[in-house]
Amino acid sequence: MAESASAPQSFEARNHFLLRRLHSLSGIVPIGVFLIEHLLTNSMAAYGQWTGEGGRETFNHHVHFLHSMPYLPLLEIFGIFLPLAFHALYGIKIAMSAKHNVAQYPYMENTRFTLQRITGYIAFIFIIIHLLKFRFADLFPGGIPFLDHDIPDKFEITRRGLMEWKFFGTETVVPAAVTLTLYVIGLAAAVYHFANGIFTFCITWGITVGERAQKRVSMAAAGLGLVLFIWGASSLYVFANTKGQFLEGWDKEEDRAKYVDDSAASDHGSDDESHSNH
Amino acid sequence: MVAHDAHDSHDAGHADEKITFRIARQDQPGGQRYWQTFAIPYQPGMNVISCLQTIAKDPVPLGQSKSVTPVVWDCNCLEEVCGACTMVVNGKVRQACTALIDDLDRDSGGEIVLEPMSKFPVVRDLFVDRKRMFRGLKRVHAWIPVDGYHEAGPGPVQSPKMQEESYPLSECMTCGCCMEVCPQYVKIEPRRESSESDAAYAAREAKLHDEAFVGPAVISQAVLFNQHPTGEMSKAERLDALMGMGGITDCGNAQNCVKVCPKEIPLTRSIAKAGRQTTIYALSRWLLK
Repeated sequence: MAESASAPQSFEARNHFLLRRLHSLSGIVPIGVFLIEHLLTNSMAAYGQWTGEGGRETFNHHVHFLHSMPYLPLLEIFGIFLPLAFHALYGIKIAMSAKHNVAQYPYMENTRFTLQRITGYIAFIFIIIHLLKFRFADLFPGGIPFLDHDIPDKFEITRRGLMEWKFFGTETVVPAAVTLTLYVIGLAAAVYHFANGIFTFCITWGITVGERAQKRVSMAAAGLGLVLFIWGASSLYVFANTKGQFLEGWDKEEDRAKYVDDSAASDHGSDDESHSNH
Repeated sequence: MVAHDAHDSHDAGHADEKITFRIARQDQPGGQRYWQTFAIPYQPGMNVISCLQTIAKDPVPLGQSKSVTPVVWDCNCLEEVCGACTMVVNGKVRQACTALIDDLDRDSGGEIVLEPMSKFPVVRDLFVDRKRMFRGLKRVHAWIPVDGYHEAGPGPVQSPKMQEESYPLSECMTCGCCMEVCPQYVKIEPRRESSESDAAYAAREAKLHDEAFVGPAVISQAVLFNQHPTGEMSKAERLDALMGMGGITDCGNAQNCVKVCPKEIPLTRSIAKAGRQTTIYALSRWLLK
């Protein structure tokens, strides 16, 4: 110990415990909490259709509520972007330190350990694409500014981003099947990473010490993960099965005619559907 | 016992049966690995160590006519309490002394494959250098400081409940199985510079050991001494060490350790306990500042 104590230590060495625990905490609060909120809001598209109030209307109502929160830029920076960047980058460093051995020791928790790292990488790539596609779409030519209050129909922006995604400022439209597949994979990875992260978080902080306590948290986390996946997948289903509308504040007036008939028909269509469902 | 009898009666009819071993060999630290196969006659009740002893009597590999240097291995107690003969038998880490030939799966190709542990530097053949584990125990102060000649009086009383909890942890023999299977425990084998003195090399290696993950067994030992009424007096030193580089936070919860521990020590419980102790220690230290 003497020789290592006298040598100057790196920032990481001096703050090792704090950094690792912050990494563990940031995955739950704020990132996990944000993931729950995000998928809950998305699920409003499906919920609104189920209640008959309309997926578009219910989704837009809830997104409007979020976008009118006070200190939104600060919440975004300190509540989402910085913790996410820290968790992702430090997480990659930690993940790269592992020497995986699932083939030799195919135990369940070992498989989960490896999956936690794989889903972390997938979620990392997915979230970057997802952010550039929606939140920062206006960085690319022709991208719709998602937070712009003059374009209130966020449902339509989202639907177009999924079904008619023009690849980063180009005129190439990505096939909807490709985008939706990417989203189902990204959603599954993020949800798995969070749910399994709850299990490891509870061990790391010493909340669950016994084997049975760990098992119980594991089951509860799996249940939460399933709910989150259903929320996300059901909203994707609604976005994929709703007709496009004229986007107020963005589409050119001369294009309005293209949507008038369609949107009227789809409005009736969805109304009829919801009536017949109930 | 029934299974054993069945084996005996089965084996009685195969007195001339041969046992084949495929053994990973390495002539010196950092050297090239190569494989040799040896066949020896079957005897009832053999274990891997007795087979290695038989091979050593006449070490002629299959396909060769001359004998080679006998296979080197490490062993001591031969009753699974010292941990010295830990090696990878048929892809799974375990003690060679309790790896009974009758219980090993010889169906796939009929060979028994012996390899040294992969997380420790090979000294020669199946013999590895496990000093990193012992240095880890020193790092976390895994002992009770009661040295001295003076009369210290009777120690604090330990409750039977705590004795029961502590006893399984005290069975650890520092064999290295938990480290071998831990995906966060990575081999450290610095390459020796030609100009480097023994002392310089040892210091460099020790520094690397002190920053690397201590592994499940060492964490469990720190927990064992933390929950001992006398050992508790130096709990802070152990927790400080566990909070450093390569301490408790390097655990990734793959939980392989608890599944391969030959002593069935509840290692994941110890790890979670260490997590709890460091959480409380860090928070209280911060709030009391």
